[in-house]
Amino acid sequence: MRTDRLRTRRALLLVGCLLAAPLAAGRDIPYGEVGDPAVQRCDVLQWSGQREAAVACYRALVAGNGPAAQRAEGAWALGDLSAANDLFRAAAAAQPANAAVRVRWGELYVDSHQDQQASDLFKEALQRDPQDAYAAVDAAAVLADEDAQQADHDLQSVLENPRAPPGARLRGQLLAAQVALEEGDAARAGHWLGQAAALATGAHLPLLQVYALRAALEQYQDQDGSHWTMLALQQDPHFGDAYAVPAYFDGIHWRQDEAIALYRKAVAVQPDLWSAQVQLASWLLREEHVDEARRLLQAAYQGDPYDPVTVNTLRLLDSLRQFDVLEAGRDRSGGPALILHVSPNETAVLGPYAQRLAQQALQTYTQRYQFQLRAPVNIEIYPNHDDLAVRTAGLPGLGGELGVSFGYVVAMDSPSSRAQNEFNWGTTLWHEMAHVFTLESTNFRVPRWLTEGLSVFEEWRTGPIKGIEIPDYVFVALAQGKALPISQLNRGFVHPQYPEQLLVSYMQAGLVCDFIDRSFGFDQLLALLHAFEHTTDVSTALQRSLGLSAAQFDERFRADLQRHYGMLFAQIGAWQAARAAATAGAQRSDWTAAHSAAEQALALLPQDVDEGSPYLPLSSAYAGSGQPQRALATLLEYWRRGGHDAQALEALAQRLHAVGRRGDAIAVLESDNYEAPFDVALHADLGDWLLEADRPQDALEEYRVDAALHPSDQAALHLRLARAQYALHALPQARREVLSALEVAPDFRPAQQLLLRIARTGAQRPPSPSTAGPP
Amino acid sequence: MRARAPTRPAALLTALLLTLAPACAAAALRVVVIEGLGGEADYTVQFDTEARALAAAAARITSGDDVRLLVGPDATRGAVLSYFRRLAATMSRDDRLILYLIGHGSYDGRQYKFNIPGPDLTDYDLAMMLDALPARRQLIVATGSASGALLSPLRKPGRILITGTRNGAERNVTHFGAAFVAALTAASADLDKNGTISAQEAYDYANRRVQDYFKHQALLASEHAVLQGDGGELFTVADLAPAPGSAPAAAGGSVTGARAAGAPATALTRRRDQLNARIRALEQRKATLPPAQYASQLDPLLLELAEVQERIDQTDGSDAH
Repeated sequence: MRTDRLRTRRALLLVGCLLAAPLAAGRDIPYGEVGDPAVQRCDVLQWSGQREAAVACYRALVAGNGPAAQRAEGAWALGDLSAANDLFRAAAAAQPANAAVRVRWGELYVDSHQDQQASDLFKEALQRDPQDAYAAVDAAAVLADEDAQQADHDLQSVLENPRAPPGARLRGQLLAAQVALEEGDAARAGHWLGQAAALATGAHLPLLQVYALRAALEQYQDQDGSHWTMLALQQDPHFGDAYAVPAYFDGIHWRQDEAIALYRKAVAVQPDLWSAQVQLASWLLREEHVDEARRLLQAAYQGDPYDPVTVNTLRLLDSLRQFDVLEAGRDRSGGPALILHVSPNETAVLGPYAQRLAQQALQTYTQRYQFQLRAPVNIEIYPNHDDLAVRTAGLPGLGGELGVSFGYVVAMDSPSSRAQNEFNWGTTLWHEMAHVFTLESTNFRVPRWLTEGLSVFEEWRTGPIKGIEIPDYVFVALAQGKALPISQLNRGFVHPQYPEQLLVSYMQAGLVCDFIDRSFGFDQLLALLHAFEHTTDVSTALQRSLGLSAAQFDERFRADLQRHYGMLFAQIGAWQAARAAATAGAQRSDWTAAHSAAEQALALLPQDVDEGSPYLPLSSAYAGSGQPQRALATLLEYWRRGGHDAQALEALAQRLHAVGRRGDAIAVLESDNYEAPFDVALHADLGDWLLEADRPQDALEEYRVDAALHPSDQAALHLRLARAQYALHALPQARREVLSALEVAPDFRPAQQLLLRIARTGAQRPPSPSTAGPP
Repeated sequence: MRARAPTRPAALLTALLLTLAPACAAAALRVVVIEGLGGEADYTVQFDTEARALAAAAARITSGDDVRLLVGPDATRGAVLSYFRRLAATMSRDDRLILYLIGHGSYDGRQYKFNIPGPDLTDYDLAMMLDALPARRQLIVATGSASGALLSPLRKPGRILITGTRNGAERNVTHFGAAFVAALTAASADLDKNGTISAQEAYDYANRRVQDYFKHQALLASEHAVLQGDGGELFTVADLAPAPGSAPAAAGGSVTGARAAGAPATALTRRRDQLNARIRALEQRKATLPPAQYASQLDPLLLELAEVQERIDQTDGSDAH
């Protein structure tokens, strides 16, 4: 097991063919899988640190007249993956029924980051020999991130099979320990490592990976695991995984300083451990050490050109160079508190709002978490989601992420990278900014479930769009009793067992924080957060902060859920049916049916503002049956509870404006901007209404955003800009803009009238802007 | 494919045409809207709404008698071909035609078919019936699926063709039709602020709206509209001025230019027309002039034009706004 085995299996860019790597790379430990004595002799040299003798041995295998599979092993060990691939293909063709050859061939594909092909070969091997335990373990490792349930099944088939070869069982135990450690379950990890050590010792198998994982486990428990590292290095001084394995686990538990330090040591003892170089570069990038990261990635690319993470990260660095850099706020040293990196095409549209919202988040969280940031926060906004995916590569449980925080670095999708209504960039930024505080204030000791829970809670409680918004399928899962015990909540993030579990876990974590805040107060929530600075054990942290064991906490949380949602859980099927019926009724203009079903659904869950919210068909039903005031009130209620469907908010804003509620209309459109910032009409309307409200400077900002979106109606745009400038007494600018409007449309009467006013006003004070209507 | 914004040369052409207006004062504009089968209830309602909106917009730019909505039994192949034969007999070469095809289309790699009750109308049928019309200037707007298959068979000098798709292979139901209809009442579609919507302006507005839709949904666009032929700026498809007795338009376009030209000429209106002509002439030379020199010549003209318009408004005793 090497660190690249531990990394996420999501291939971002498949390398189409195998090419010869210029240098010999490290060799995986086969754990008895390769029965050929000639290969085993070379492997013994390799794993006892006699690298030169091992290379000579492998070369002799390649040059010899042995079977194709034997020569393939030699070529692979020497880093000639292309030759190894050809030889394995020949070996498989010569032995159509042989499972073992296909397992090793599949492992070669794993080594070249082509998991799909590897998975196919493991399946082929299992078809030939369903009892092949090595194939089962390999299949489980490849599937660990994609299909945790199937991976569990494959793994259990090996762990529970006493007749499986010791090497395969050992690899299974190591994989089980790794999974437990990823989930933060130290006890389970310790159990499997104990079993693995006993098995390896009894079967005379290498203990190197056992030592590396032991070191990782003890470090996770805030103990000094370096003696295990030393034991491994005594056996093989070039065994980079002795450091890289603990580094990986430090990384996924957000201990990035420790991870970086360990990866540096891994690279020092084994310079050709390219996976460690790439990981080191990724973590350095997360701390904005771009130059060093680039050098490491370039070197890693030379050594392992197959790793898509290397290629894509280098590409990301090239695109980041083109980004605009905006600063905002000031820290205590006088430097910027926030540094935004925005695509040049989006700077004018997103920049001002992102700066403002991030500063607001900074102030809010500084006060709430009583923590002063020690460095500026870098916020990267990517119009291409693949760039964000590269940023998070290697971190389990971040597959469909909208944003991510690495302490002082926040990376997130731009709203342009996703469909409208799929992504609210304001709440995402708010969520990620909360992570900055919860991670940094605890020196990254906070467990994943709690940092996510607090971020979700802050979205609901203090975010730009407040209100508890939970998808319907999460309520269904909770009604089915799928809430995890608090001590296992991390599992839902790291190794979800069903497709929706990741989001169910986010919501459960948010509800947990909301429950603690309501029942114990925010100070106790902070106390729980900081309890994790001294322990990784959830029960201990709960006991210290809330005076409850994990079991007691679970009991009280479940009771709270029942108190709030018990009626809903009891009628979950009827609720879902009523929601669907409300929408369907509105779609066919059956207002009676829509009204009745929506009322039924909202009686069970008045806070329901997620996709498919009954408030929308209810509002339509009121409007359709001639009750416009109730329709308006219903939409307003939807918005006040945190509803943010772009079309609904736009309609609401227009109706509010039409009935003279300009302030509310402005507020609604401002929140719609977090959903649909690239909507030209939104900025034009918002500017017009701000101008009416005697806020010309704000109006001018909106019109400038409008201009950046290149609206077709240039005459109207320039007239808007002119009106705002005129209201700001900037007559030369107003004149320039109105002339631009007239250049496009010389007969544009409102522009002509403004031009005449400007010409006649001269330096006199202009009239009230409220007299200027929309173009 | 063309998808350009109206340019000043086009506007200049408009101005010249307006000055020639009396010469072809007797020329009529005939508008025909053919509503195809929806197939499903939602599409039936959608097509009917669009067709009626187009017919209503047409009734405001020409005589109501010159607008014909063909739907249901009037929209069978036989009825349509028969109607166009009769139409051909009543048109002159100076007349103009707008034909809207609102509905689903299909293309099998050889033949385009517009889906109507009974046998469909084919691209051949459409070409034959349109070629038989004496009217030289024709605007054909086919908004539906596969309508791009008409680009080649209907290509003809003097004929402008707007299609919702770029070829016959784009077979999904289109969003272009609804967007085109929306353009007819949208002040923001009136880019030159003359109070009317030209075919070019409607096309530009609809095309952008469709592009924005796919962009906002993060979907690959399944339709790409096309405008083929010159002079889309010359075909007015809608008038933004409020209908008599109705409330004013929600957002202000101005009402000058084309409709004002029909009023009796006075010294002021002559001066306005002169200024407009000078402005357009100057804009033709924009690329050859240093920016400061261009501005120094343009700005006084625009200012004087505004003053003249104000005096015209005062003389008329009404202010458009």
